[in-house]
Amino acid sequence: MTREPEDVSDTQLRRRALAGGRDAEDVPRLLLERWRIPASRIGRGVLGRRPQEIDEAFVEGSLDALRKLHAVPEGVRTRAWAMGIFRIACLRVRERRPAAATEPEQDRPCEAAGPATEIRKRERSDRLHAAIAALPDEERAVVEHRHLHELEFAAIAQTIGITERTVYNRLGRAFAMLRAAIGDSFDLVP
Amino acid sequence: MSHDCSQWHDRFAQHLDGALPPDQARAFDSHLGGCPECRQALAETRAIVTALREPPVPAVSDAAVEEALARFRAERATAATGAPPPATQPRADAAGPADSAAPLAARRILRGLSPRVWRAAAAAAILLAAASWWWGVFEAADGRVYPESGSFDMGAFPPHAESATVTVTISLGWGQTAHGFDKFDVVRHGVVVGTGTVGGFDTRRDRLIGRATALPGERIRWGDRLRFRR
Repeated sequence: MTREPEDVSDTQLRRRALAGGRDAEDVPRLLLERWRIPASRIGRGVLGRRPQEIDEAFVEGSLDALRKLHAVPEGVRTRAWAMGIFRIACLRVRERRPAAATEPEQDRPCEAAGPATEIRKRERSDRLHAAIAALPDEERAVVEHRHLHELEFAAIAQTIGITERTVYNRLGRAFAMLRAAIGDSFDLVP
Repeated sequence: MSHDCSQWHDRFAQHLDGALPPDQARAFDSHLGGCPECRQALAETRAIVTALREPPVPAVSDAAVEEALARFRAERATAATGAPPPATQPRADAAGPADSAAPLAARRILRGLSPRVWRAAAAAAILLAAASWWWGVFEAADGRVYPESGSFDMGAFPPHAESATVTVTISLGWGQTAHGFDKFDVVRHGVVVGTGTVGGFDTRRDRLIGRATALPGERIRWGDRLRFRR
């Protein structure tokens, strides 16, 4: 899975796409690769552990976002905007789910890791997200924006309406609370 | 933990992102050298951040990325050649009939209009869109409670959800873009019990349905109301 360097923002890529020419040709793929992780996190939150539905929502939502790239309002972060569209796609997929469907949640097998590692990672992730859910509103918001939606610090500050300095302070407090909540039970070695 | 340590703990996030200014980074390294407590706390924080950055399970598959890319390129190629776009899945909340469904007679009339009429119509549309945009913003900013008849979508939310999502109908009018990110209060029995932000996205094709993202937890329940504020 390729990740683009963070020094090129989604908004810069969008501008490159709108400018056209040969530089624009690879932008859709770059954006899709950058969106897949935050989209996965949102998908897991809205749809649960249902990989087929998450894939379906990603195709639908990312297509929507790519089609509307020219319409991103000035001053709005492209990543945050795209994740808003993806969240809508997730909701649409969930709404289309048959009422009688009781398909249990499942995990996509992790090819690189053995079952024990996979279970350990899943348990650790569940514990961590439970601890995040227990954070106070202000701290939880900055953790979610930064680490689940992968917004940049400036975008978080703009979104919440606070300064970047306050974002750092709240993240610092949030990490202190998370350490206190899960410190002993959390593996320091990934 | 000393006051000095507390001050550095607030900067862990900056340090781990490499965002500390050089002079502060040097001072931080110097402090770390003599403070085992901070080294331990930083190691724990790094482990948490590493776990948060791990790809979620399940993650979007490579196949989904390739499918989205292939479909987007096919649409673009089709648009470039002028051929009709490939059939796509119908949207559950599509806003009214598509162009292709417009009556033939109406399309003939539209084709017969002069460029001057088209320019005038475009200017009028822009004015209308601008007017409706401001109307929508003022509605959202004046503290009015939305929606009187909206619905919240928390019932089926999975218990392990990373974030809560509510659906709220926002009548912005004229089908203009709903611009984010406005904040909202969650009001229950007249008391504000939570806050969230409404995302920015195009409502033109979504039948003026706005989606608002709230903070996770169980603060939003059926019957709660959202009060928007700037």
